[in-house]
Amino acid sequence: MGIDDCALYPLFTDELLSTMRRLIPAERLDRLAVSAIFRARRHGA
Amino acid sequence: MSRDLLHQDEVRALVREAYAALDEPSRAVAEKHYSPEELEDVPALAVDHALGVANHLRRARIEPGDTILDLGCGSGIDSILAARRTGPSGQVFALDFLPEMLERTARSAQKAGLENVEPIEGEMEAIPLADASVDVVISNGVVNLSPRKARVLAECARVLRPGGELCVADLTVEEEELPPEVLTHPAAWAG
Repeated sequence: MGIDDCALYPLFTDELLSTMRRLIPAERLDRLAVSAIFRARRHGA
Repeated sequence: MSRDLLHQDEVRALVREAYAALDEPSRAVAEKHYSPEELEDVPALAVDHALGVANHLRRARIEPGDTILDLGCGSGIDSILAARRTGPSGQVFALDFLPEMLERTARSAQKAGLENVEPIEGEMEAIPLADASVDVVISNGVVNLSPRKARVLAECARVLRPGGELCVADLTVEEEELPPEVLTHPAAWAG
């Protein structure tokens, strides 16, 4: 998940996105977070 | 005197304030994660305020008649989609701690003609459902908002029936690689 993905979310304001672009190295801006899906099953069935 | 070393109340207040203030509709998040076919029968109110981080429902094993808990339902997009899959013989409990979100979910379910979505107000660290009462717990971008994530997972295990499934989508960040100005920004906690 990169900064362009973050920009889709209203919690990421223009001010915050601007701060992120200023402080985070350009080569990191396209991988700021990892979106993961996990599944688990409760034992005992 | 007890001290809130996890700053739970502060984090909760921050999340509550941030999400309650969101009013601007946008389909961008929904269109990123869901196909046009999936969104076809979901009311605009739910689509326009979707804030999930992935499409975990494609992985969730939901069978007709299942009882489902949508942990942090937000505006209800996943509750609506899950309710269609479990069908009229099943039930979706849509849990959120924000009345504004529950109201949107209720209106969306009504517009979708679904009678098997029941909004319930509560905290994910203290789910107001009985032990072993749910077949599938789903959650999309919500567990990360809790200052007590282990407690949330323990609550999910408590309400799941034996053999029941938890299917969660969420975000992780490598904290040491992000500057403190970003990590400590309220949006980093709320988003």
